[in-house]
Amino acid sequence: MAEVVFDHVTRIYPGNDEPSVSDLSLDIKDGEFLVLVGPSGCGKSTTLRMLAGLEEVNKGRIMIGDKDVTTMQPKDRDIAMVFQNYALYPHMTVADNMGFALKIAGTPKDQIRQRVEKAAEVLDLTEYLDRKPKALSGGQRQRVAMGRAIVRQPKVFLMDEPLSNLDAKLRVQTRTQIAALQRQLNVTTLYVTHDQTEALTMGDRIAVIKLGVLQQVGAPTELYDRPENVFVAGFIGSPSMNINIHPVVNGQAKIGEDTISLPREAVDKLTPEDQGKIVVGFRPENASLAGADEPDAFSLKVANVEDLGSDGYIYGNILTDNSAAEQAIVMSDQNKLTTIRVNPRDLPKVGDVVKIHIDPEKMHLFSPASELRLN
Amino acid sequence: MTSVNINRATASSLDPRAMKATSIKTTADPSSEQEPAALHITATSSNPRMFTLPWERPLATWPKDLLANLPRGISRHVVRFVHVGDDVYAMKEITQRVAEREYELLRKLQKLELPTVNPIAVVTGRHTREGEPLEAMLVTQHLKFSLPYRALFARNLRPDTAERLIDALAVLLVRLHLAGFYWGDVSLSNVLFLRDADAFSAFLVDAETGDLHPSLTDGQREYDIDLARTNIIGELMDLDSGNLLAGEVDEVGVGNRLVDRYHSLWSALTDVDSFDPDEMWKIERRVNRLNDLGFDVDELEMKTEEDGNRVLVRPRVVDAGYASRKLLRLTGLDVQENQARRLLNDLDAYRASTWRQGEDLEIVATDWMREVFEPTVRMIPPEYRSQIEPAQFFHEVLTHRWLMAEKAGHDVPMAEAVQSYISESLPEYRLDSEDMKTINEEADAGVVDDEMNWQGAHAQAGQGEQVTSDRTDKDANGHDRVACQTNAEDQTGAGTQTDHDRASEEVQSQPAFEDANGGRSSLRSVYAPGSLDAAADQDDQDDAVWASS
Repeated sequence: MAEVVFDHVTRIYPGNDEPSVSDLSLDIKDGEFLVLVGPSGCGKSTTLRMLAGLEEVNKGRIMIGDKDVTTMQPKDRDIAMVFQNYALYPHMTVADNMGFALKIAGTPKDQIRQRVEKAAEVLDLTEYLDRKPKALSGGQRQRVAMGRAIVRQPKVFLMDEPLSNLDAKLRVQTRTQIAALQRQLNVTTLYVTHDQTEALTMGDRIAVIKLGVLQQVGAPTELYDRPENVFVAGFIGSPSMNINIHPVVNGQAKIGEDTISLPREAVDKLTPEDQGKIVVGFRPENASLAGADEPDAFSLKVANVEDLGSDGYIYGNILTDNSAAEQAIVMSDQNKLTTIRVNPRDLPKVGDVVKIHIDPEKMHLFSPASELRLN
Repeated sequence: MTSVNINRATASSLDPRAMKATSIKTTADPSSEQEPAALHITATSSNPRMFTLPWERPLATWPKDLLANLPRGISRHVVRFVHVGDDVYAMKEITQRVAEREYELLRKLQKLELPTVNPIAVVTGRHTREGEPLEAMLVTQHLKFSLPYRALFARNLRPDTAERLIDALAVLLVRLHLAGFYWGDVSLSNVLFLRDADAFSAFLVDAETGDLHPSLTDGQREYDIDLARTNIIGELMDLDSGNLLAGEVDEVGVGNRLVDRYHSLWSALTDVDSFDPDEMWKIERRVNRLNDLGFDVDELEMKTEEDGNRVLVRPRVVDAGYASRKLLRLTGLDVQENQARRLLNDLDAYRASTWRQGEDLEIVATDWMREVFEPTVRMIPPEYRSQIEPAQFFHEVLTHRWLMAEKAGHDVPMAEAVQSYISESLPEYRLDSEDMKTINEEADAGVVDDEMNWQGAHAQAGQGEQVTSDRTDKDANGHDRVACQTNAEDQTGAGTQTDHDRASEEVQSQPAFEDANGGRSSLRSVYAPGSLDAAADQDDQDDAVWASS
């Protein structure tokens, strides 16, 4: 087991001007499950492949434990790429399927058996060790494949979208298994995914990356509660955060005919580059229906409602007066609609105009120019 | 969006042929991808029978009469060979994302003329008749005459078969790496083998984990090689556990052989030679050596050292298939490299024995085809025609004839040699239906993502009667019918027989199935009776004969 350190690491592909990963500094603590998440092409897989030794590092260095592995061959790094489509061998027992790579490496027999038994215990496969794959269910076979990586007892597990070739139902089951397994084994793990739900549910910490640049690293709740920039705010959470740009008038955000109070210290941080505007974000669960004359509320024309039994959702358009100066720009991606979670017994009708109050404590404010957090 | 910059820039340095390979572009943002609501087929072929297949059923439950009984390799996914008109397609059930990605990648590799299976289609938006979504399907053309390694080990092995397979795999890996393809999952299971004279040629069949780059880093190549070594040793250890391996084979030695063969071939193809300026003849020697290895040199990069005393030479673009291209040009025969070499040698011998050295090779080649090659391959018995390539048959007959002549002490006429070969050697290559069954059962033992097998199979490990899914269908008269589909049914035929299957048999093996539109149709109404019989014959042949060496 070991800590992994990316120390100002840059990767520029031959023939490219822009780096695919730019000046990345990140450390994965010993035994930690770190999820690297971002949209396709953001550099997350490149980052994993640099740690695996599959991509060259143009600048900076990578450490595993106290070893500098920057130029080391993959097989010398003591890492295991989990789920690289391990095949199961029909004539071999489950134990042999899990342990054969150790046999190749010349590990003594009793040690192989010991490690295999330990892995089988974790994977709940003990009673099947002497059976052949034919006698196992698909889920058990999948666990045997995991066992192949586990018995090697590598310093680091690398998982690159390991669930992407499983269908939706099997994906959820395997997701839970991997997370539980990693906690039991306590092996430092770098897990790459484009799916923020996977990231939130699995990781000890999440690193969000965009266009090769690390955006924020933190525990799932930190990223959810205090996103440091507009990208993280919009990327983490489902349904995603409502994010709009509004003019600031007399220290208040002007939303159509309505105004919303803003904390003084956030407004003070605005600069001339922000051109008198502010980015206001709030999660669907941090807003509520308000009375017609209530202050600090804005008007929403309801375009669609959903009753999920436990929750209700309103999707609507923010009413603006359509003047250029007051045009609210929708930055979130819910089909350009603002989403509010409400009591399902209290759902308005489609076409209604309702007042919405945002919980001031849970408001996320950003600079339109720098897109960085203000509050 | 975000990916555009990176991809465009990477793309600009990729081989332009690969850039235009495909109409499918896997979504830049996977979170936005959606399964189409209706069946969607993107295909390179316009075979209309594709639409008549029962896409609304999980592949593992497709009616047996649609399937071609061919040996399958080990896969984590459900794979079946399916008759579609005159073609046999390999169908693999995987997620849409992986299917589209692999299809796109295989198209690119085809454009780069690399030895891979030919992608036919991606089928997405599949749903059961109850509206449950089904996984996408990747369709590739079954590579005719090819065999997975397990089928080659099932019978009549020459002791050096493992080594010959490894040599073929090393060539494949080098060719893929030269083209910038990182495989990520090199193994004997992910390759199909074609017999090629006394050697084999290897074709890539699984590109799920692969990636195409402008060029590969040493780390990527070394990872592939190391993984190949581990997988090969594992695969051989498995054969050994099943008593399928000749006792004297050293698994680790064979695995190491791949590493050695790869490195020596890679270095022969890419190393920089250094000559004195008056040793330019050495360049020709280098080119000849590459030709002997089966590679063509497209371009030589030459530069002198700064002091001008040495010339540095490096072959820039090399491609395999030197002899096979020559034979293709002369005769129109498209065959494997070693077969081509053997045929070219025979053509040379023919030219010499007919005293025509002065004549154009093209003209002599035409006569050789008419007088030697064609009469010989016409003698392949009909039941073997879908099993052995004509060029391979010709090669083996030549070898057989030589052995006969050696024994007899005089030349043996070709016709006599052919007869003797057919009666003595060809039947030994049969793979009987028992072996086929075993191979396909073994192949299924590794499937991890068959939903029906996801839980609880161990409770009833006895194969055949193991019921893994209950499906309720309505038959033509609207009566409910419960079809119990067994896990091993379609390979063993020993599973719980479904009402569906029984109904099919009652009408004299007239295969019935539900078509993609949810209506019922029978093959007889779709296919002309003649073609149905032909399809049945085909199936019998598939069962009857499988050649190996």
